[in-house]
Amino acid sequence: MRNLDTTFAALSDETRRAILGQLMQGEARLSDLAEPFDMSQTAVSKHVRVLSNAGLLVVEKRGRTRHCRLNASVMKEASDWIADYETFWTQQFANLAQHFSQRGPRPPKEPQE
Amino acid sequence: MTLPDVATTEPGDVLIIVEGHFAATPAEVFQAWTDPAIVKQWFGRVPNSLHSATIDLREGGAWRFLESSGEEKSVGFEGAYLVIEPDARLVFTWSKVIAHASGAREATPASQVDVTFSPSGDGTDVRLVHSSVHDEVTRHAFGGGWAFAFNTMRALLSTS
Repeated sequence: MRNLDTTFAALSDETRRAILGQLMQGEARLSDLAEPFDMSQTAVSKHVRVLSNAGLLVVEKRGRTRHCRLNASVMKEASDWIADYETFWTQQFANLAQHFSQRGPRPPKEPQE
Repeated sequence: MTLPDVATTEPGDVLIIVEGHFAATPAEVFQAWTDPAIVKQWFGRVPNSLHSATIDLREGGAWRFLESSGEEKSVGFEGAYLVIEPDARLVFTWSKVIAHASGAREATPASQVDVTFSPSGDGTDVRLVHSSVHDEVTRHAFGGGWAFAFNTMRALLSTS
């Protein structure tokens, strides 16, 4: 669960989410990532480092350029949390429906006001 | 008793909405959520699987549903009630907690569950919204990450 906290903390920043959004279209050079943002290469690099530390993306050095790509498995962990809870609550509702259907006939309905 | 801060802060990102219709009155469904003996009959992986359920049904009161409790650790869910409108609505905080015998605790950051019960036909419609919480602590930790996780990650994963 600690890992997941790091993931969500890294995702708490708008710019970092935008960076990930860019990388969803595929790998990108670190130098190209700064382009859509009104900020310095250094600032973008800092965000990339946070994302990299959280395991959300991988930076690879090839020759003189750094390439960034998503690490889908860590993102999957986060989205699994949500999917798990969707399943969980759906299951609870099914349990509750079963609970009411198993208790036998209901007493007559009270008149509505 | 003062309520946890989350009660007064803006709602967070909606993560999950589940809706259902139940063949029972709103009062009966509300009771099924708030009477520990009944909770144990249906809540959990399968009916009658909970190890224990404790409920202090007042605003600010704590609740805890343990899935298992052994010598080494207990695993379950816990939180506090923020809003209690009898037969109509329950809002409570939610964390999954693993408590080790050593005293160490692993807990997910608190999220929030809002359950509304409304009469419909001869039964009750129940709508459950599970959201992240934007109090100062979780805002720092989560920010908009939840919504991103919910919408964008899923899109990513479904295409990869």
